[in-house]
Amino acid sequence: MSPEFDPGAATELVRAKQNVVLVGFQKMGNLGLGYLSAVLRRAGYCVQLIDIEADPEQIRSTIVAADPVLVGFSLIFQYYIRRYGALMANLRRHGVSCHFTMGGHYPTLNFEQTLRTVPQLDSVVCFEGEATLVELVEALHTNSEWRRIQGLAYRERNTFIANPPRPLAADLDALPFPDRDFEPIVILGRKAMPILASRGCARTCSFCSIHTFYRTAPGKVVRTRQPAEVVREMQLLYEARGINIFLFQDDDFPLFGPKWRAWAGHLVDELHASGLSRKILWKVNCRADAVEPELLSRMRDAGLYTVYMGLESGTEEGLITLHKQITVEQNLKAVRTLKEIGLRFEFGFMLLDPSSSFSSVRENIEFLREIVGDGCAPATFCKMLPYDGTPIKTSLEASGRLKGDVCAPDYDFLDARLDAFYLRLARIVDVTGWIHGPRALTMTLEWAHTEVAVIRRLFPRVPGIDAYEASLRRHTARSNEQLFKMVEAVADFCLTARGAVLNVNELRAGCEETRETVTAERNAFVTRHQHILLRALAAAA
Amino acid sequence: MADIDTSLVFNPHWIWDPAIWRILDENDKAQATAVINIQLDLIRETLTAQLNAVANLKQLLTP
Repeated sequence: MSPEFDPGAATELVRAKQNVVLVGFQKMGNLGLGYLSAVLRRAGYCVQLIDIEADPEQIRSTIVAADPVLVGFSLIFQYYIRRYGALMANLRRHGVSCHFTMGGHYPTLNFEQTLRTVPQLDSVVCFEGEATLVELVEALHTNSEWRRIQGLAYRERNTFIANPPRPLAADLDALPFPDRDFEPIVILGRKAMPILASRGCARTCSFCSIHTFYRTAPGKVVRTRQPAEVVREMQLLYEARGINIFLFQDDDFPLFGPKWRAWAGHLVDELHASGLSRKILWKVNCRADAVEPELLSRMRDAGLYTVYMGLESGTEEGLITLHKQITVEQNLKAVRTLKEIGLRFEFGFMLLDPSSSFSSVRENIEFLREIVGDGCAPATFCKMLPYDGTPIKTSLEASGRLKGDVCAPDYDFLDARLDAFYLRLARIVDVTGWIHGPRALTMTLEWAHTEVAVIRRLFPRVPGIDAYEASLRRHTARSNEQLFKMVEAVADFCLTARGAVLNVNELRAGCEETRETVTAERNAFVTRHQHILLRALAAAA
Repeated sequence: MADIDTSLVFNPHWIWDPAIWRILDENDKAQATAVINIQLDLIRETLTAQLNAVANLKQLLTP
């Protein structure tokens, strides 16, 4: 063959000119998009990632300029769907005529509803998207038929067709490391990034659609990466981007049962062998029944600093309704174990679920008092919401209790007075800015506790850290108790129509005052010792 | 007291929680506002195009 003509090279050149744009939620770093981007780039395509939270004008101009062969929309939270729809309508109006596809749990499990809600969509990539998306882009690029691609759903005239599901990725280590076109979260100058060690969840919680997502596609539900590969990725991130803190985003970090305990043990061994264990911190999400002192102590010694657990309820009935397959005592035992071995914990908690009663609300508050009454962590809670693809949504629908829509799914409680309770409590929590949002008191306290763990583990001994942490715990304990009393007062009022009327302005002022005090103490402490912190950061740079 | 170094500034990071309070929630408001803004943008553009068309037509009809 003449050196002037090399079809392979020519194909590569043409490929390199093709653009693909992926739009999704990028806060905290979106590893799902990162993996899709990585496989597309490996296949020779130019990929641009856009944050859905960016200005719509900016999104539009970026996409128009990129002139892509495909725009992929990643939907994590189903209540974003109308926003995506509006964005796509806007793009179409401005002449963007390329293929629009969407992926995620909701579009996968509700492809028909998704295609109806967003008529601008050409297809839905169902289940894990890496292989399907690359095939789709290849087909579009070569102008070949894309409608027979396994794992795709699409509209044909007035019908909706889903091709057979593609099996889940059998070997996660065959995937490239995900692209991380986002800035790390910075905690006292130390940088944090998300990472995945596994995919899938073996449990069947009724409020969660993850298991439905993974069980509907063929293939093994839970797949783990090789511990050595996980550590190699951590090492690369540590060396190339100075990442010290790794936030494992696994659906359920592999810790339960002998096989996964052995896997976690290997990960610990690899971290020690790499020398990383003394230089980094990491956080995992797991179930309370996987918390076992010996293994968790070993993990702590290899850098584990926080364990997030979906505790979800402090009542046996609540745990049964949520199909957690765990007991209140197991939840309490996990918390006690973590406290004993010196690991901080964060938790998810649903104060209200479809089985709730005033008595369960009180029981839940007592449970929260028991676990965080000492101020080891800020209290937090929410109402369970019936998202699509979850068994609880199906059961609420069957019993006629489901209400709302895709963007605001909801249900009636069995006791109508609880609906009034929820409305009042939600308004107070919202107005006082206690639990949710970037300026919420809970978030301020959570972050301050995280910083203490980071100072203790990633910096030399800072004088006065014990006194500072004790004070932070006192503030946390006091604000937790205020929150609990507020919930109890609202419950009493709704149940008996008697009791003190809460002064929301006073509560808001109290909440704001605690937030300011905690922030001021924190700033004073860090300023006082910043020479130590900055010296350590400079030495690590 | 010395100023705090920029690398050590307190910056609580909001972990986006899907199981949120639905009423008056910041996220709901943000979603609704984002959708309305995009729709308003479309309406504005459509009206501008129509006004321009009317102006052009007037110009053509003006003897």
